[in-house]
Parts: sequence; C-alpha cells; structure tokens
Amino acid sequence: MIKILVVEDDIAVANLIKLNLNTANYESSIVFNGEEALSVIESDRFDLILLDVMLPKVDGFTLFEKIKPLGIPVIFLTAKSSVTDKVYGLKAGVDDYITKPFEGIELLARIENVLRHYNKKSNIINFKDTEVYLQEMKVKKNGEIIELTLKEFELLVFLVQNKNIVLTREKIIEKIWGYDYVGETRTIDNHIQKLRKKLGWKDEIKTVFKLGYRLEE
Amino acid sequence: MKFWQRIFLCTLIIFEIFFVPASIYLIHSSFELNLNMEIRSGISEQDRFANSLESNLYLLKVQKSSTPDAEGVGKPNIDSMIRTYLDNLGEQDVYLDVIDENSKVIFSHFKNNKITLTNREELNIPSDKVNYIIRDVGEKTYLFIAKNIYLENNHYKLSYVKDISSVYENREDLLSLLIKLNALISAILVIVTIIMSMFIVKPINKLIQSTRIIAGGNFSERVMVKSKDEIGLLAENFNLMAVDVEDKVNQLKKTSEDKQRFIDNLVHELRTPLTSIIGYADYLRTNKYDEETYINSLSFIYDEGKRLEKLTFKLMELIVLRKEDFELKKGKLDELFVEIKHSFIPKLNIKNMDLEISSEHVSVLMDKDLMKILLANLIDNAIKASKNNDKILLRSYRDTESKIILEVKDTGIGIPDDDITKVFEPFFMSDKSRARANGGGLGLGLSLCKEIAKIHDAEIRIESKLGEGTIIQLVFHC
Repeated sequence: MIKILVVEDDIAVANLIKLNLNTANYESSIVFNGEEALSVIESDRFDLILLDVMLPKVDGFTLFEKIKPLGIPVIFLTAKSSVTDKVYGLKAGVDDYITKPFEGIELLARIENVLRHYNKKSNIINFKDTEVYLQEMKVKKNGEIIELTLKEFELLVFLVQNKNIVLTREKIIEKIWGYDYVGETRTIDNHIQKLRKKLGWKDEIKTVFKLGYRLEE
Repeated sequence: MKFWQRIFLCTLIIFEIFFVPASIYLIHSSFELNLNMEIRSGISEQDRFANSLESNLYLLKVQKSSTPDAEGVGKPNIDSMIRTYLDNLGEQDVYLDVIDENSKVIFSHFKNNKITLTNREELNIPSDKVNYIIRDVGEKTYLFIAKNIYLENNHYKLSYVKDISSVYENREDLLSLLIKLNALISAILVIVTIIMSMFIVKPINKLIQSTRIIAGGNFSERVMVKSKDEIGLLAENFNLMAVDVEDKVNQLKKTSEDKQRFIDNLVHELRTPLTSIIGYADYLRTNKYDEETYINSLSFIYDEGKRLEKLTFKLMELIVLRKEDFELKKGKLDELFVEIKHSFIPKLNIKNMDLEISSEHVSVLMDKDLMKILLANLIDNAIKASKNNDKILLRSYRDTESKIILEVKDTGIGIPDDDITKVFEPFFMSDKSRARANGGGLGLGLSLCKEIAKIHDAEIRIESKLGEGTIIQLVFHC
C-alpha cells in the first residue's frame, strides 16, 4: 500500500486530506510541523509527501531542502498563489504544487500523476473484470478488447480513477471536454449511456440525483 | 553647447570687444601722427625751396647789377633761374612744380615721373596760405602742397609733392599684423579655455555621472566631489537630497512590503478555512460516509465558518480603527478594570485563574470602548499563555517620570526572543497550531492593540521571557 505523509499545521485541512486519501486507498500519517515531519521521515518510509509551505518552526521550503536528497516525491500545498513562490518551489525541484482551496479529486489526480511519474503506480487500472491500459489506451473486459471512442475512453479513465466518488457533470465537462466547452450536459449523459452498454456496467455507473455519476465497486 | 565652448565664446567676445578696437585706435592714431608729421615736414621743406628761390633771385639781381647793361631782372630771367635751380634739386620721392599766374608750367618734375593731373583744386590758394591735399595717383599716394611765391612782382605757384605711400602702407601692414595676431591669440585662447574649462567641468562631470547613476535607480550612490566652491556645495546638497530620497524610497518599500505581507497573510488566513469548508462539503456530497465522518466534517465546516466570521469582524475593526477619528474623554482606569474583570470571569473560571487588579486612581483621555477592546485582547492573550491556576496581574500606576502606565502581567509560557519584534505584525502567531487549538487565535489581537494605542498617543512595550511570562505595558504620553 502506498504511504503518504501529510505535513499540514491546520487540523481541519489535514483531516480533510486524510479523508480524501482514504477514499483512494492510500495510507496516510499527519504531522503538524516541520520538526515532527523530519523525525517521522527518518524513522519511517513514505512514497510521497504533501507539504504545506507556511509551517510553524521550520517552513516548507526549508524542510523541502532537507528531504530533497531522500528522493521522495513532494507536492506543495499552499495558500500562497503568488507566481514567484510557485516558480521558487518548482525551481527547487518540487514535483507539483497545489494551491488552497483545492478539491479532493484535484488532489488525488495530482498525487496519482506524480506517483505514476515515479513508477509507483502501474499503468493498468483494474476494475472488477475490466482492465484499463492507460498508455496503450485500450480496454479489456474478460480479456476481450472493447472498442471505445477517445472521449468514451477518457471518461472511463476518469471514472475508474475516482471510483466511489461522485463526479459532477461540471467536473466531467471540465476534465474531458475542457473549460471552454459550450455544449449541453446531455452529451455527458449520452456518453455514459454508451459506456454502460459497451461494458455492461448498468449497475456500476450510478446516477446521483442532481449531481452526476458515481462508479461503484 | 558644451561648457568649454561657452567659456571660450565669452572670453573671445570680451577679448575682441576690447582688444580689436583698441588696436585699431592705436594704429589709426599713429597713422594720423605720421601723416601730420609728413605734412608739416612737407610744408617746411616747401618753405625751404621758396626761400632758396628768393635768395637765388637776390643773387641774380646782384649779378645783373654788376653787369654794365643793367636792364633789370625780367620774368624770363626769373623763369630760367627757377628752372636751372630746381633741375638740380631732384630729391628721391619729392617732386616740384612751378606755374606762373597764367597757369603756364615753368618747371615740373611730373612729366619725367608720369604723373598726370587734370584737376588741381589745391592751386586755388587764398593769398598768403598754404594749401595741401592728399591724392592717390596710380598705386601711390601723394601729398600735394601748393604755395604762392612772389618774385619781383611775378606771381608763381610752387607745388611740393611727396610720395607718402609708406605712411599708408605702414597702416596696412599694422592692420594685417593685427589680424594675424588676432588669429594667433584666438587659437591660444581655445587651448587655454579648453584646459581651464576641463579643470572647472571635472567636478561637474563627476556630479553628472553620479546623478545619472541615481536617476537609474541606485539611490545609495553618493557624489564624491570635495571642494569648497559652489560645485562642492551643490554636490553636498545633492548628497543630502539623495539621502532623503533613499530614505523615502526605503520607507515606501517597507510600507509596500508590509502591505504585501498583510495581504499574503490575509489570503492565507482566508484560504485555509475556505479550503476546509469547501473540501468537507465536497467530500460529503461526493463520497459515501459513516456517521462519525459526517459529524466530524460538519463540525469542521461550522468551526471554520465561525473562524471566517471572526476574521471578518476583526478585519473590520482594524479597518475602522485606521480610518476614523475618535473623540477621547477623561476616564478612570480602575473603573474600567473592574468592568473588564467582570466580563472575563467565565473564561478565567475555566482555567481556574485569577485576575488581580492593583490600580492607582488615575484618569486618562481615552475612548472607553476601544480601551476595552485593547484590554480584552491583552487579557485574552495572557489567559491563553497561562497554565491552569495561574494568576494575571492588571495594574495602573505612574512611573518615575510620572507617566501613566497600564500593565498586564502573566506568568505563562512567554514569547521566544526571535518572535518578540514580530508580535505586533498582523496575523503573526508564535505557535500557530497551538493558537488554533486554543480557541481560534487569528494573530490580529496585538495589531489591533497597536492601532488603539496609536489613537491614544500611547506606546506599547513588551517584555517576555520564555517559560517565565510576559509583561505588556501601555505607556500614556499625555
């Protein structure tokens, strides 16, 4: 199981991150300041660190310089949205940067992205009897290849990556069609119908009233 | 126009105004003098010739009277006497000419020397005067002097002509010398003024260089000109100005940095609760949750919402404090202390603490509501820093300079030395996680106190030792 260290001084935010990580089946530990973080990192092994920049005692940038040699992927969590801070962080070699306020699925997507980059996450996602090959962009159900259009495939990946979480129509549009998409939300419903049919996921893809869809295990 | 060019031009103009006319005047005077001398010597020379003619006539008369046929001296005799006498007198540059009353030429040097004249107005001589005229003939200039002479009742006009070209040539020579001299002096003047202005301009150039650097934004640059003249003074004043500008710029920079920090902190303080509120709400609507997660999440949403509300109020207070004029009235501190203690009793009871009041009867000019906010913040901080069963001391007294002091003293955890200068900065929290856990501190309390103190023309002093406690004093200056 993948272990993630959360370094965040705000209890509410730390707890929220933990909840989100739990839904994606990550194991997580929380520490509230830089000093604690250092001692925990020494004694335990982590696959990824979520690091708040504004920390008491030792700030995030200083802490990052100390843990950089360990080669653990680091994502900065910060309320500082100023460009210079971002540039500083990215130049220092941070893997990614998330500004507060952030949403759960954004956090999970970025974590997954970084982990895949470090080859800690496989390129194949399994869901029940279905295998989704992210790199080859193909889908097998019971060993048989299912033909999907590009948009259908992207939608499927989005669903399996966020299983058990409701994906609102807005989020789906934003992710699959992009911000500037002006079409109707009906398009999404049509694509969902086609996915249900092609994969036989009539019960798996649940419609959540007024919100969107959820892939249930 | 460059400075040296200007100096050169000014000097040159002054020089030309005085030197050239003076020289021309000198040359002219000397010319006049020479000319007059020539004329005078010409006249006396002519006199000499006239006298010689008269004495020759006398000799001729003596000669004639000694001969037997004394028929007297006639005009032809005199004419021939004049001719023979004058013929022998050919002097360099001097020409003589004699005509009788019928304008018949008795003798003339002119013909040999190719001087031909048509109009000779000088010959209209008033009876006993000498007439002279200066006339250009060909390339030369001649002085003509005419005079009447009477020899044995015969009227003659004797003309004395002298070549005085040299006088004119002399003047021309002097004038051309003047032009050459003028050119030479101008050339020397150029060199001298360039060197001179280089000497004068050197500090100015230094000044220019420095000003350029300063204008380019490097306000710590100073002009290195150390002379006692006007330029030195200018440099000195310029340096003073640069110091002032640098100070102002630094001050502006600091103000803008303070503002930027305030905004950064404010953004952080706004975003953190927002992250929680949005995050938990999003989690609850998109995930399956159990009862515990549900309650916890809602609690966080509620707390963070409250926190935002509190932040808004505090910010409003801070903004109002910075804008408004407050009317200060005389008020008694001890009464205020009692009131404030009363309102803090529930909070004190939770930690089983005591607030001890020791107050002299002093009145200060104050806005009672603002002073309450200030005291409430200080006492609130003291309670947070204290352990259970601790005691807080609230007192007012006059110090040795008889200034009124209001003091809040606790025996709590104290503030680290590194942080003590930062405690009045907005959003500063010595230990944020502790502050949050301890009932939602915002880090705005002491900034508020500072603003309130400013309104009361009072100074806030802080003294703290880690582990021993903190003393905060409000020193009234009135």
